[in-house]
Amino acid sequence: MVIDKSTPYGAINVSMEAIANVAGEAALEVYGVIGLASKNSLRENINELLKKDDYIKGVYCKKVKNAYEVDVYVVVAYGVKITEVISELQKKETYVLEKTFQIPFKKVNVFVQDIKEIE
Amino acid sequence: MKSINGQQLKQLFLSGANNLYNHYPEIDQLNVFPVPDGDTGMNMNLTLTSGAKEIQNKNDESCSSIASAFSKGLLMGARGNSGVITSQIFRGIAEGMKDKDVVNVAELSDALLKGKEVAYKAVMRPVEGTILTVIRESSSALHDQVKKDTSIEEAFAILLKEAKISLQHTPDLLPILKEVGVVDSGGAGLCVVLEGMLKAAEGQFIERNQNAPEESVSSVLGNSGSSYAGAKLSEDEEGYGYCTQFILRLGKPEDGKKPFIEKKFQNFLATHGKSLVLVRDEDIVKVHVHTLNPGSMLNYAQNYGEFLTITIENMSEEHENISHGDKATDMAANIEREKAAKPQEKEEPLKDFGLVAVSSGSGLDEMFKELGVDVLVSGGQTMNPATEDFVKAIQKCHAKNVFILPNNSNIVMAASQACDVLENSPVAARVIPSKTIPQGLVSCMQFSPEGSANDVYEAMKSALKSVISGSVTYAIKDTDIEGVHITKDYYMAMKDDKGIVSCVKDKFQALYDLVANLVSDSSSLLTIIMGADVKEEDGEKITADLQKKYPTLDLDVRSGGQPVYSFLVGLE
Repeated sequence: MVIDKSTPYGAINVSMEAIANVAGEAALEVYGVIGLASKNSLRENINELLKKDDYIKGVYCKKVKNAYEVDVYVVVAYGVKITEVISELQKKETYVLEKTFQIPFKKVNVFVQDIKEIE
Repeated sequence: MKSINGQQLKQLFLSGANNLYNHYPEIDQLNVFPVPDGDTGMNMNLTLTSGAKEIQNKNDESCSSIASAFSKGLLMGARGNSGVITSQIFRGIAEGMKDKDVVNVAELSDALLKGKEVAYKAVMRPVEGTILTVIRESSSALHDQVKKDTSIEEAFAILLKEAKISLQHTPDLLPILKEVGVVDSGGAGLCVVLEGMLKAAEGQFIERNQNAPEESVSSVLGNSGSSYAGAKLSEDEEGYGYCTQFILRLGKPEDGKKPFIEKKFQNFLATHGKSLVLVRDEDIVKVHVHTLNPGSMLNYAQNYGEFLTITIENMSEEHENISHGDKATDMAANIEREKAAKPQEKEEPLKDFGLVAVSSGSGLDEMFKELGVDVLVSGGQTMNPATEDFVKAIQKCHAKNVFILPNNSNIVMAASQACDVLENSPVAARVIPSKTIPQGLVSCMQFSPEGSANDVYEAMKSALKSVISGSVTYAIKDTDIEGVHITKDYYMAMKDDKGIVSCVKDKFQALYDLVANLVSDSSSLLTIIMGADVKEEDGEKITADLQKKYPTLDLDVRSGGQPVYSFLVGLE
């Protein structure tokens, strides 16, 4: 999935990777989020935090009608109020994504894949 | 005081939480980051209140159990980003105080360091210039300065002092704060909490202020002369505020009412408001007054009797509408305006049509207003308004059908996007692709709020074609375009956004060249809008000169006050 936009000067295509990177960077700035996790981490039993190049495995973007939705798979710190961290994450993602791409993002679905004790 | 026990620690925490409660509205006004939703103060207040509840009835003598109960309360009640961070800071402090019944200064300082560490652990990429920076800098400064014989009071004094210094530096670390001219809201909240703790350590426990907090937080924040949005706003609103009118029926002492002394009553109102008018007829008193705090005024008046009617109107809102154009870039003002606009929106029914126009310069703003434009968005060649600005403007129009006049080819896109964003809302927004200010003005003239939305739209759109427009502006560099040699700082005459007619040193000459190029046999009305750099008297000269040259043309020369463009020319 890519974002297509046309302007009087031509078309703009934004790749999935670009969105994943922006969303991933934004997620890491949110307080209480330890990192991104792979969508398949439960099935594949890989409990690793994603590295920068692999953000694409933890962020999915799809188009529903005219708006976009993103799924973000994250690992959260132990001992923080998860509901709040997630709602802050959703706010931050919509804000950053809309600011960066000038495209309305209707939903940010957050999946907490793991909770890690931080030492 | 060399050390504190559990009960003393409890007093410190409660006093900190109460101090925040008393000041949270001012902290709300600071909020800009990362999402300007203006609720940091409220969130932190709810968080700390939840912590305070947890320890309210605890009589433990040990610091460890009080601190961990407080931290648990904070964790459960954490709200928003700064609330979560605060809960982590206190979680660290509780860990630092683990197994300690009494805490001395060195241990307190270590606990605070621990608080900082834990707070930092929960985020991968800390954003500096926030509450995190404030706790980091203040706790490590305290750690450096603390000596064996430092008292608890002194320790908190150092901590608060350092926290305030750190807070004042937050705008240097986070550009968005600087842009808006505020300090970080979460950091400010932490300072207020620390202040409450210091006061309690000094023996002045802060009670919860039951009335709505009114006093300014500037004693806590603004001492080094930094201005922040809250303070600025109240200054701006001086003389506006709320137009408050009420009719009071005076009560009798048996009803628990105070005896009414007109002079005293009048003095109180006069010191708290402006434009006071007070009329008394036996037991009825009618009052009209402009005040920033209608609530306190009503409370006072109620001491003397009961109200028959009350009307309160926000005059700042009216004022904002007029001065909107000048301030569109001021984010804080925007947020406030938005807040102020909300209650009003609910009351009025939707209009059929609304107009939004992009303009710059006071004269142009006025022209558009005269032509019936509801909301102006400030912008132009050098500053393009964002989609967001349009969305807000459209909503502010409060109409079923909204037409947008971008008045610049660069802005058409942003305006169309705003329409896309609002596709699913009850407002039908449409862009009339006006590319120049003269086009926008002429299109506005065709606006009549009758008939179907389609008819109105088509009428306005077709008006665009009837105008030929041009402009005169200065060149920013030497170059050659389309065979015309451009010299820096000379004036260029341009036709319809593109096509340079000439480039000469004198702006009036450039204007005459432009008019000569544009005029054709079918043209009848020539409109010239003078920019900010052209004097009023020059207008008469231009009129005289051009009238001589083109006796058949009707001339309309006006002052628009727009930047960048010396002249905007429209020919119909």
